Amino acid sequence: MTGETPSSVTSSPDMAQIPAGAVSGLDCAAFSDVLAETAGGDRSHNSHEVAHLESCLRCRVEQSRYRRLIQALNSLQEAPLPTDPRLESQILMYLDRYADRWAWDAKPRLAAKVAAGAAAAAGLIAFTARQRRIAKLAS
Amino acid sequence: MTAVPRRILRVVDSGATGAAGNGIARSESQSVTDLTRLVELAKSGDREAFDQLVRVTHKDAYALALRLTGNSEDARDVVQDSYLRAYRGIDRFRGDAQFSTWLYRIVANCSTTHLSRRGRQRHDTLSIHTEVIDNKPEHDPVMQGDRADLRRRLDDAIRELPERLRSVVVLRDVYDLSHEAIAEELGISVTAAKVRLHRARRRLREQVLPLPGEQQQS
Ligand SMILES: [Zn+2]
Repeated sequence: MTGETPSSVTSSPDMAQIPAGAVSGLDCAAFSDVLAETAGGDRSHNSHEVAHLESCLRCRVEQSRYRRLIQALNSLQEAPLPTDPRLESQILMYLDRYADRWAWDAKPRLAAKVAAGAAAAAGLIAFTARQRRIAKLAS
Repeated sequence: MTAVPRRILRVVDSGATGAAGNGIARSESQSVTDLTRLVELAKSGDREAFDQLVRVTHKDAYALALRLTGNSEDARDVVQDSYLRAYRGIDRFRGDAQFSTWLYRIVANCSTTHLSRRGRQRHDTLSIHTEVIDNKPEHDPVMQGDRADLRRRLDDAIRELPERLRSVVVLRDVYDLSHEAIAEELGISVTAAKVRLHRARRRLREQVLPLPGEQQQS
C-alpha cells in the first residue's frame, strides 16, 4: 500500500519517547484532529503543522495510517456487497404499486386541498367584511 | 409510452449483469451517454427507461443504503423509497450532476428519514460485507487478501459507528459527496458535517489502524 510507513518505523519501541511537537509547539493530541481533518485532502497543512510533522515521528506514522484509511474508504465503493437477487423485482413492483397511484391519487388530493384552502380564504374575507360592517353600525 | 432503443438496452444490460458488483461505477465509466439517454427518456415520462435505470443502478444504491442503515431490511426499504422519490422527481434532475450523485443524495435523505422514523439504531447480526468477491484474479493474491481484510474490518468498524458519524463518513469518503450536499441531505450545518466526519475518521483509524501503544478494540 503506498504511503504506508515502513515497518521499521512503526515498530520502533522508542516512538513514544520521541519529543513530540518540540519544534512547532503543537501537541500530538491536538494534531491528531488536524490529521483527521486533512486526511481527505480538503486542505493542506499550514507551516506550523508542517513543522510539527517534520519534528514528530509519532504524527508522521499517524498521518500514514490516515492515508491508508482514506485509500481503503475510497475503495469500498468498488467492493461488491451481497445483493438479494429479488431486490430488482421488488423495487420494480414497489414502483408499479405506488408510482402511478401517486399520479392518480395525489393530484386530486392536492386539488381538493387547494379548493378547501380557497374556500376557507373566501369565508375569512366574508367574515372580516361582516365584522367591519357590524363595527361600523355600532359606532 | 416510448420504447427504449434496443442499442441502449443492450449496452446497459451488459453493464448491469456484468461480473463487477456495483452497477453505477462500471456503467457510468463505460456508457455515460447511454445512462444520460435513459435519464432523458425517463424525464419525458418513459417508465420503461426508468425501470432500466433501476436495473443498472440498484446494486450500488442498495450498497449505499446498507452502509448507511447497517442492515438489509432497512436498506431494502430505503432503496424502494429512494427510487419512488427519484421517479417522482426525475423531471427536477437537471443533468449538471451525475445521475449517480443525484441518486446517492436521495438515498442519503431517505436513509436519514427512515432511521429517524424508526427512532433507534438497529444492528442486525448480519454482517454487511460477508464475502468480498475478487473479480480481478490478476491481482497479487496476498495484496488482495490484505486489502480484502482491511475492507472487511473497515466495513465492520463503520457499522459499529453511531449513525450520525457513520452517515457522514460513508457519504464523504466512500461516495465522494460534497460537504454541502451531505449537510443538506442530513439536515445539518456544513460545520457539523465536517466535525462529524473528522470524529468518524478518528474512530475508524483508531479501530482499524491503531498506532503502536493504542489499544485495538475488539
Ligand atoms: Zn506529534
